[in-house]
Amino acid sequence: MHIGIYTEVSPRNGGVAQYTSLVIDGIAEWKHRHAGDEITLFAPGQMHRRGLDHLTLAHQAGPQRVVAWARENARLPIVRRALQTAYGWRRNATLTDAPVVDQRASQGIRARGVQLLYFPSVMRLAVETDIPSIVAVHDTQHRRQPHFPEYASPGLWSEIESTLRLAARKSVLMVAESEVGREDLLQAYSSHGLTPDRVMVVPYTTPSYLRTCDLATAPARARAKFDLPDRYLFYPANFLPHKNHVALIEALGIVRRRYGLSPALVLVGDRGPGLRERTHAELMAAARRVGVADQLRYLGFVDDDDVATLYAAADLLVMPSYFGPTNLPVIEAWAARCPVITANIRGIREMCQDAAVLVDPGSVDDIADAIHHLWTDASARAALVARADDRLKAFSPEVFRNALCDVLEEGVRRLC
Amino acid sequence: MHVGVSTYHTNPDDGGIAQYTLSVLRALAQRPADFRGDRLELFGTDAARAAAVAVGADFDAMDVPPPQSAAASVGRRVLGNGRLRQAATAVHRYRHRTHRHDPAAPARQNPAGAWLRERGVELLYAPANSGLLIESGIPYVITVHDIQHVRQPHFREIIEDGYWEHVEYILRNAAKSATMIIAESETGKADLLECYAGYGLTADRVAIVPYTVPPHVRADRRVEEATRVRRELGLPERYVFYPAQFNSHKNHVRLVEAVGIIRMRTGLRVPLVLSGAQNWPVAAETWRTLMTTATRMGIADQVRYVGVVKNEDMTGLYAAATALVMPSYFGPTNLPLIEAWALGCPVITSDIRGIREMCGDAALLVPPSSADDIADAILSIWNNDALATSLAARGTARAAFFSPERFATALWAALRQAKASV
Repeated sequence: MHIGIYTEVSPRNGGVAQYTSLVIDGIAEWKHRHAGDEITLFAPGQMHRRGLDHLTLAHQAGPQRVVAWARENARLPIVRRALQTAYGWRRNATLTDAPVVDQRASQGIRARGVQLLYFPSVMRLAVETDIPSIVAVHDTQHRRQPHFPEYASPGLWSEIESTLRLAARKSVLMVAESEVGREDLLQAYSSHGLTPDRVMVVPYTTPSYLRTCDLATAPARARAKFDLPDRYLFYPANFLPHKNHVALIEALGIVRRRYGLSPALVLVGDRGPGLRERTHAELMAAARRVGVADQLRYLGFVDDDDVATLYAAADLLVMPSYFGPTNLPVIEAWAARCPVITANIRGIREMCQDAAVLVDPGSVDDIADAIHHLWTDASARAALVARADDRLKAFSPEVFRNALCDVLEEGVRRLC
Repeated sequence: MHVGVSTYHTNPDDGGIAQYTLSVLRALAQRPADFRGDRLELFGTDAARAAAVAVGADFDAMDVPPPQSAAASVGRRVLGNGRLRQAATAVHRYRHRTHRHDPAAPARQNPAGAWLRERGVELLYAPANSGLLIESGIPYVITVHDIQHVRQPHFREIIEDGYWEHVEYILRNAAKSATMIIAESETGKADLLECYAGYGLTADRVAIVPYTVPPHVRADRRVEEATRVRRELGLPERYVFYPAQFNSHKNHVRLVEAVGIIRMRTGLRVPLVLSGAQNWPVAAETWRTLMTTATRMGIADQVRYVGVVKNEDMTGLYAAATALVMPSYFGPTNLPLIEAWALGCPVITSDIRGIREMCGDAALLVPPSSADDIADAILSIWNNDALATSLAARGTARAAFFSPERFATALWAALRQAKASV
């Protein structure tokens, strides 16, 4: 059997990129179980380098072959490329849930011998190829909370929805990240042909850069590199409205007024153009309004290894995000023995159980109280870390690898 | 009312669709009183027209369908049927790749539709998926045999070469615009509504017409036919039989493994007779896998492939068989089971949704993915005449439900309902 892993994301795509590297990493188990099988990774340039890094890092644990791949192939003659761009625009403008087959991409992938494709995130090619595909779906928030401006860009909502609708009918298997995610998928797409036997669960796990990070020396390394305050709250997230940065800033204002405390807040994440830039500007404005601008430290986009040290040096991860059902930073914080405050919403509740302090993401007071409580109570922090160690067992790399292999095996079994 | 029937699949290598079409033609020959004044026309290939005559269908006119357009017909003559034609088709497909299968857009106008309208056709019926119907602009009734492309999309014959998109195109449009859709069972109707209600299908537009025994199955001549076919094809005294196109969802390989397991476990040589078309890539691959498996298990000499069998030989093949073994992954109704029941041949088939409901107690049900279970089932019939006899008896009783009369009545009822709404 020859399995292809196909991705179009760049490392800056946040959680999805991290999940993709988890998959590349987890493939080691598949190679262990099925020594004769071949794995090929299809990735764009940047991801390509990342894939190669993993190859060397994980002791040849990754795919045997890495193919630098771009769907709109950049090596085409310039005239054809221009024509294709024009064609692509037209296509995007009329995108419906109409099934089509991208013959060129499919043939290119099939020519390399690939018999089964794994998509670590929802990509259009997953439903436009005639190679059997497995699609990992990280959330169905566009159905549950469509009011967020993330989905307001023209055609985006429809593209996600139409891709998932087609995947519900056409993919060999869909992969959810938790039982809650599986329920969500079935609830939203069983009317589009999705059946329970075609949805499997692969829970997230700790990324390799946290596993390889030396936690004892990490805080010192972080401080040496970033000029950090002694104690700080940490929130690594793209600047998108659903991440709810503003509530966190306002909570800091309350902590300052009500309790006289001014904990520093370290933010990382890409402040790219468009919505992210606007969201970042909004949160800075909010910080000035409530008088906590001096507490903020924005470090820009930070490499994975540095993120690991930043968790280790932090007092608290505060993640009042509105989206779930699983959020990777919570697992990362647990692995770095950093206590967690996060949102009390469906999915996150099931994920955290008692290993985090859960707050209503809509209530600034709630967030403020939790920050105050944990900031001032070292024993409460220690208790959280101890419980997190326990909870982390459910998200161990072994669990992930086995679940991923089970999915691939089920896919292969169905093909034969 | 002027009713047109469009049939294209009547050759034995079209598999089950051909058998179904023949049953339809036979049913249409028995016109009920309230349709006597109507005009019934058959459009299709020459083979379809010949088949209609053979089953005694009384069509008012039988015509070949028109060419797509004058230009296309000239183009076809210039291009011939070789490489040039293939290249032109490829270019055409590439140019229309987004629009061709776009169910959200109105279906493209099919020139044949205009031709049919000029002839005065007011209602069309096709016994299988047909692009012509949904593009004709004429009210139509269509039989949908299954929606397995949604339930089990992973099989090669389903997902490759745009087949999935083609079926989806037809079904989404049919959900929207068909006057009636004919399903073959309650399960099939439930499946259709579950997956296509979102595209506009409503329960009152789905009729159920259960399959029936095809006309060439002659229960009255089964003893003579068994002797004749066994002699002419040189078949062994006892054998298990599986007639199916060599698509991967038909699961031939598990059956071969089961025969291999029997040989390993008991030393018993159970001959396996296979028939069906295999002249396309997926089927050729299935055949290769099947023969590799057989060779590996040392039972290649037990596998006998009799090719695409003439319809008149089917009676004998079933009647002479010790059992029909059909471990197919698809349903909800599989025609060979009915043929076997009608001819007193015990049945082993898959324990899956749809098939369970279809079989009742008239078959041994096994999980299709388990060669061991298939082997056990074959052995239990092979060594136990009492079981074989009782299964055959239960099969005969079950076959009564799938009688041609019931089929004709249900089919005409569906057409009557369509006629009323047109």
